[in-house]
Amino acid sequence: MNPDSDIFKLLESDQNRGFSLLVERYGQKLYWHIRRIVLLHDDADDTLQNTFVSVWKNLPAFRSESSLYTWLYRIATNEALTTIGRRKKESSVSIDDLGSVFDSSKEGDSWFDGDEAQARLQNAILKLPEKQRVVFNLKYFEEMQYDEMSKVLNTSAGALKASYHHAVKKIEDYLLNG
Amino acid sequence: MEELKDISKQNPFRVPEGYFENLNSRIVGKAMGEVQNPDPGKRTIVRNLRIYILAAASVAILAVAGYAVFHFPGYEKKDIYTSENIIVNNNSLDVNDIDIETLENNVIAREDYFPMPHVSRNDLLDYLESEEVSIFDIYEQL
Repeated sequence: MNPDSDIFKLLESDQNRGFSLLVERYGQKLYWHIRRIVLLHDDADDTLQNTFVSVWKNLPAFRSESSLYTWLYRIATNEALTTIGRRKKESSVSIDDLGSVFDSSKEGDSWFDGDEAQARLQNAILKLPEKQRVVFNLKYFEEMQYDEMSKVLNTSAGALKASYHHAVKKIEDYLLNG
Repeated sequence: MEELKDISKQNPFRVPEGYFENLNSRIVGKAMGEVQNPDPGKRTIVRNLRIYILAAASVAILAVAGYAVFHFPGYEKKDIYTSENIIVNNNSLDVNDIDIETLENNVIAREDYFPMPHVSRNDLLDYLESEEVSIFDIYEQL
């Protein structure tokens, strides 16, 4: 049985309430997924709102036999990658470490509470190509299964496994050698 | 230096107080408001003519590429050495039929003509990753 069948039933009878239930169930999860990619709270907030605007617009075309979870994550991932792409274009300096990300924004490091080791880990993750960063975050922090990730990123599970293991090696090299 | 396994997975990011409490109403309000009142500024002439602009750009790129292939600087000045034969003065000759002096004066090595940039292993792996080439695709070619 589809775990979101209650949402689909409510969307059929009362679309507004169904959408509200969907936001309530997935809002926080999607926020943190987006935040780990874009790093800044303000950007994550904007991106999350854009994600749900896109979801609302495309709900009529969504087939209830598919997984709502992977569909939402796919939209959120694409919006987050668009946000960081836009940030790169708008910035005159290279944004390839946490410090430069914080320097490029008004909020700075106000919403980052990590210790030095966690900051180094975030710097290591920032060095990865964007798609590989997403793969690493989804596997390492959210422990998503490769089969689900494959639907989110439209990439074979085998390629994702290779990408994740390669990402881990690069991160470990960075942590050991700086 | 710490290893990955030694670093806490605890979330290092935080949000403003009360952010998630009113998240639902803000998001639902924005999503429904955006759809009912789409921003007219988003519809621009460029957006409506996008497909025609893309088609024109494709034709222009093909034209420039075609010109570059046939008018590449130095193409007519030097002959090119390939692994199987040598082309001198537009005649294809077997390497055993040509003397050393002619080789040195008229032919340049392919490697000099098309210098290969240095590519590190990590660069190559990143390229394969970005092109979504899986390990299985590579094995099939071996």
